[in-house]
Amino acid sequence: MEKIKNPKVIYLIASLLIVIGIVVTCIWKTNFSLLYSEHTRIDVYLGKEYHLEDIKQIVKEVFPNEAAIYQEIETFHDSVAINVKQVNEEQIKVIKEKIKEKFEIEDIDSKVNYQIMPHYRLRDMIKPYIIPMIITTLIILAYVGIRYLNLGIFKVIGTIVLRMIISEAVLASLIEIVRIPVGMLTIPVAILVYFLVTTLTVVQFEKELTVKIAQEKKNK
Amino acid sequence: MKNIKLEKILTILIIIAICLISFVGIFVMEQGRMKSILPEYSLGMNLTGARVAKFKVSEKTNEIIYNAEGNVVTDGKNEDGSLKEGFTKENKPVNSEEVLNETNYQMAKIIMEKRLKDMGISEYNVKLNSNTGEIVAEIPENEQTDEAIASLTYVGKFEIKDSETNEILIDNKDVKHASAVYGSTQTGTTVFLKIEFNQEGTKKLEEMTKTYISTTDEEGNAVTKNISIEIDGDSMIKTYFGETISNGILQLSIGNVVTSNEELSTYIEQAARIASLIDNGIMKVQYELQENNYISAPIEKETIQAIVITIFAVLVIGFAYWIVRYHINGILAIISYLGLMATVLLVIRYANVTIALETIVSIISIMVANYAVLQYALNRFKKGKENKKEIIKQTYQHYASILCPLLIAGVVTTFFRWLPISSIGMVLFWGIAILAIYNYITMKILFDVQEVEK
Repeated sequence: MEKIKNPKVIYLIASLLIVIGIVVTCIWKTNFSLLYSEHTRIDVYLGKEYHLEDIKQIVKEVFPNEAAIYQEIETFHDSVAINVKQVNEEQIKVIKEKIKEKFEIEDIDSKVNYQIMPHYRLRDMIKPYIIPMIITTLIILAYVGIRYLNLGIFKVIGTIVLRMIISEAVLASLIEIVRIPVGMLTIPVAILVYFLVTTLTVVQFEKELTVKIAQEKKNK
Repeated sequence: MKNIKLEKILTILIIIAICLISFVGIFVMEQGRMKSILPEYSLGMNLTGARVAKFKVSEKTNEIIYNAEGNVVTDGKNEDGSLKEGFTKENKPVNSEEVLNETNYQMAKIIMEKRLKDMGISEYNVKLNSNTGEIVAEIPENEQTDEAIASLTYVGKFEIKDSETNEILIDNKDVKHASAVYGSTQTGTTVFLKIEFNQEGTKKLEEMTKTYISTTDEEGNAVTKNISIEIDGDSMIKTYFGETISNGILQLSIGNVVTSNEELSTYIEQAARIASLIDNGIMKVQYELQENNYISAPIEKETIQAIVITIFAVLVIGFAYWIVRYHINGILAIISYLGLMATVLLVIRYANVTIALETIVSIISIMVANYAVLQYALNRFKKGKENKKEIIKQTYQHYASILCPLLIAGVVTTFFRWLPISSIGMVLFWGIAILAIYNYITMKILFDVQEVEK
């Protein structure tokens, strides 16, 4: 990695993004994906094999402009869970009618039911990762401090810690500003950014160390 | 020269074979059907599905019978089920109005999470509806699932009582810690539920072990005073003590002496389940299981396809660059690259590493690292300033330092029980280990120094 030519500009842009991110979060709160926010799960027990496309068609007719996520209930391919943001009694009634008609099911009231699923809390999502990442970071800092001692221990540790924090903060801010839904891929992406920033910073230190050693040899 | 060529061809053939085995599989005819003999990938909860259990705040009532003096009694009914003369009864909700608040719901959620953790459940999500108090727990589907879900409905009231008078001798507030332990003897291994008591509890235990013993009366008959160990009022065991316990540690054997690993893990799970109930406090709200279904993973095929297509597209661009810039060495590097990924995937299968969605981080990291290592080496092979041995040495010297943080992350995270974290660690660890060995072999055999500097 080339040494960043004007880090001040990059840090300024990053700070700006973080500030905007904080403001956006305060005003609009975090945008969670459908399954991670409070939503309604409609359970349909068909008792016979079905084509998901048929279910999707019915859902599309009842919730024309809404996103829906489908999950299979149990493993017999005869029941399906439909996740939507929210439903009212009228929509449930229509769904029941359409399913009854399509799949020729009697006693439809006992075959379709719905429930409100609670939302995930961001802190619950992050909690299991905190201790492993802190321990990993401390060991990496110890390694970097020893390996690049020649470059100045405070400089290398300060740089890598700053980059780790800023990169994660910028990622979080971008998620908030662009209103990317927080969901299953959020944590993996955050870890990937952590790995990427750490590795690229080490690449930079490695280059600086090589140059410094060469310089020292030359001076001798 | 001939030998070198033969070595190269043989290596390429082996890599292609590994790729075919890993990406396509080995199939044999079994009972008229083609069956893969490779172990299946073990997938985590967010890629396969989970048991979703929904707990609602219990609306049950307890029948309480009072005697004529207004005291609560347990034997207030006649044989025909009618109340005794002068006795009255009251149906009291198990959850009084005062306990139904957000603080207690939150506390119940935290206790459930702690219980799942103590039971060794490798991955779980617990969600709370703060308004209704409903709790949804998602845990992986395996032989432990039913027991784990059942244990979440317990309030967690632990009591040691006099089995005759029902007097409470010890309860949760006397307990310091409970855990599952096992010890080996000459006859086999025994699993214990180990309950450590605090200072107050230690005194009570010592007193109890002096009182609840088996003695002989003046007529020579055995007289035994028993205790009953109860969880939520259900008696687990009725016993007496053979010796005084003054160290504040009560060890109760769970099951029989075990002679196999399977039995051992069953009893340990059983003991851990009870320990998790005792160790994590009492829920102020009583819950009951409302729904319990296996629900498939929410990830739609389109999401996985999008991820795979993106990775594939990036790889194609990277490979095209290698071919254009490094010609034969570039093609050989592509073969080597694919071979490494195939080997990593094979090791993941055989090492029984459970893949979670988070594992994608490790796989991408290995792919990027492998590309960078080969790119560095290819550049040097093209420049031709050093001989092959020197190029390999420099590549390894350069990347050993750079990949060290990733290796640290791999090793550290492997030791955590939380599956998404440990799977990142295991894949990262195996990936970097294989990368180091595999690339050394392939670089040595496949690549040639292209332009020797004059």
